[in-house]
Amino acid sequence: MSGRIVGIDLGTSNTVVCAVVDGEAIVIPDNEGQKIQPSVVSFLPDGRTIVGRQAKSRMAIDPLNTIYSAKRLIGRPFYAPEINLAISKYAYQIVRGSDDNPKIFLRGRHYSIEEVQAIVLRHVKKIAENYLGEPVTRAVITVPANFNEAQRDATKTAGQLAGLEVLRILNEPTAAALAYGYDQQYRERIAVYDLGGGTFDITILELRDNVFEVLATAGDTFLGGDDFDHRVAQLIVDSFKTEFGYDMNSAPGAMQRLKAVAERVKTTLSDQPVASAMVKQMVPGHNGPSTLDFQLTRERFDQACMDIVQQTFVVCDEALKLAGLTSAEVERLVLVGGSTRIPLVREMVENYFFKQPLINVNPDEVVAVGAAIYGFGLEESYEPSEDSGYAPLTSGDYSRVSGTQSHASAPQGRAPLLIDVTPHALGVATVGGYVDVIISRNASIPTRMTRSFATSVDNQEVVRLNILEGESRVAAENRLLGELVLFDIRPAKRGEVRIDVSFEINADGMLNVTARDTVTNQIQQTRLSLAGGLSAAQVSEMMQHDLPASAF
Amino acid sequence: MVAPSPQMIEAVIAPLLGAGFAASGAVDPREIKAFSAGARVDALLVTENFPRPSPAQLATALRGALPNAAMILVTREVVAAPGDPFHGALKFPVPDKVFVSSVARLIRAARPSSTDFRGVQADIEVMSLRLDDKSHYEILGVAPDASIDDVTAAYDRLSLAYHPDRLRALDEASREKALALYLRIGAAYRVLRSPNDRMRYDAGVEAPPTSEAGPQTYADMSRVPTARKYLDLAQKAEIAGNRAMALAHLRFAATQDPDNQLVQRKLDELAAAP
Repeated sequence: MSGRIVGIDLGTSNTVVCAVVDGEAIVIPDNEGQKIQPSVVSFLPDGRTIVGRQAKSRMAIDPLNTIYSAKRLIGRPFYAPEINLAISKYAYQIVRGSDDNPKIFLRGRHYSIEEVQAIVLRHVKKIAENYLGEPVTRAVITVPANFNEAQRDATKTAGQLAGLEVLRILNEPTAAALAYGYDQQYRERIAVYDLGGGTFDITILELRDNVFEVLATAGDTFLGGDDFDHRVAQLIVDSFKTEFGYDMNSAPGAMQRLKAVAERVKTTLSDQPVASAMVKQMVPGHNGPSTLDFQLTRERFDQACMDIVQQTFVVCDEALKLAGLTSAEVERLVLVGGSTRIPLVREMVENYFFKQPLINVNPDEVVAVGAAIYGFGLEESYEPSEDSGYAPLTSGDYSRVSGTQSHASAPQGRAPLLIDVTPHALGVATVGGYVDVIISRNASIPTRMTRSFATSVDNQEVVRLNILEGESRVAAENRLLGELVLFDIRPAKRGEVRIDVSFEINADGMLNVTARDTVTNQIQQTRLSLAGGLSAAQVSEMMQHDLPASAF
Repeated sequence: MVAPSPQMIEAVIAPLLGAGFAASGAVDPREIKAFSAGARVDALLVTENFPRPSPAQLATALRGALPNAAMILVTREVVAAPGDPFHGALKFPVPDKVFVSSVARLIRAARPSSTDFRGVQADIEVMSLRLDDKSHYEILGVAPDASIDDVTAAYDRLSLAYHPDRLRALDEASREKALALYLRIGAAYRVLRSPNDRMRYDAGVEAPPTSEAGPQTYADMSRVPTARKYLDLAQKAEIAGNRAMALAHLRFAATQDPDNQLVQRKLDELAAAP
């Protein structure tokens, strides 16, 4: 008997864990009654770690050893532009690992991003165990809808490192839709607008009772609440410069402090028309700290941040186009993510979709709730209880056109079903720098496509294929997802070996590749290595070592 | 057999289904026997702080008297696996609702599983027969004049039955078979729900192939031997970086296989490339 399956929303800024108890989804509080854990890990001098609120309070005290927003780094190769941006913005040290993946270097040790995320996951796992009174070993973890293969894979690895079997990787907006529509017998089209701490996603779904079919999804992994914070921090820097002639950008650690101040100012402006903050800073040549009395009106904030919200609508346009709908055809609007609390965001989104958003949804908790509900559903279909087990199935005569006869009395129960889509097109680089698109963007998953490959020289032993992700037909304009190698090919004249390669994207949005020699009908060996991901050897090596101990 | 004295026992009998939960206190095992003769005892909860006999000894002693009960060790800290004879361990205190529901889960898990997937497996077998010969309508089990709503309803019903998330408990071979079936169901749905694709399908015009094996070398684009030869030359020229030569070979190949769209497309592509 395994314990309950939990749902975990592993966010850029915050992490939330939820479980279904007696048919009710409960967002699990820690010992102090808090349901939201900052996704921050602080490494103490003795090597132990602290996570959550206490770690967050160390961001200003010990910025070099306190890791935040690791989600923005996960599953990306070191050369990705997002990593570069993070290096310039974040206080902790991001270095290039020997495997070309980013590593965090602190207190003389390198940590993979997976390990940092695992420490956060372990923290909420313990909170859940403490609340539920039994071990928690299985989880459904959510990721932004536009996370790619490597990012999903890395998140799954983080779960494993934390001692969790990740039953399913779920898209955050889909999870939110589930929390909203589960067991409500809705039949409608909804848009989930998810503006979190670091990512933006828009997903259009059709709800048909307990079937949730995603029509389209689009997103931007570098757009979120942090951008508002940085904008406000910049306003503070500007006024400090005007008043004291000193650029705070050049003061070590100042930006970390300002980020926290900016976040407070932003949050205050969500319910107050004006926010103020005192900013102290030592200025070279001045006696004692100089103090800035910073004032920001909502109007000024709105002006400074309008373009950030505008950027989300470019992504919304894209999703609506994929779904073949106009914004007015969406019947319901669900807002997710802490940044949707900002009045400017609400106002602009309402105008864009011509409708009021639902207000009875808690944007911080809804994703974890959806994940827990889906996990519960998986368990129900995994271990059918006596009364909701599989009903006897009847089979019709399928050899003729069967009219509208009922096919099968399906094991329906109350468990919801999600039919999601893949956020990126997937293809293979071909001769001449083009892309042979194998799986198109927005394809319903699971999906499987097969391509035939032939050897081009005599006795060719290896075929190497670059797997690309993106919408452009020109290979160079897409992201390199990884390399697929067909090896140990049987010796033969060129063109005589034909290998059918099946590219399958499973319900988790993860790629599986299998290959078969069409002449001998034997399984062909393949190896898929993802850019930004860890190799299987690295993962098993990491599994051998314990994560740094928790200080609590 | 250990005979624990009543004073030593802090057992909680929980006939959860029926009289509700919570009868607590010192219980004589002989009473338990008498009790279980009359009513079904669903769970035995033993706290870990037993001096003598150990909780395990107690539960073992009572197992004969309560053959159908879930044996649960109640602990102060979360315990991974309490081992025989316990079915599970639960920390206490936790919120009442959580505890009751966890006990109920353990009771369910302790019972012999009655799960039988033979029905589902048989159904997958039947549905998978001659999968490639069936029309999209046959796959979904709808009439050729079915409305979009009928098509969607059929798809939803089949999805709820055969989506991989529904069949996690099946063995791998059955799941693989079900996946092939489900992929086919999805393909049928996507053609029939789109008015344009459905019209084309009804007219006998194949929709754009979705899983066709694409050509890998230029020569693969054609079946005409002379065209193949020049396509091969074109590819070599292109790899060598000689685009003009590649274009010349492609143009000649096109004259040998004039109706070939693939060759034409490659030609346009190469001509348009910077």
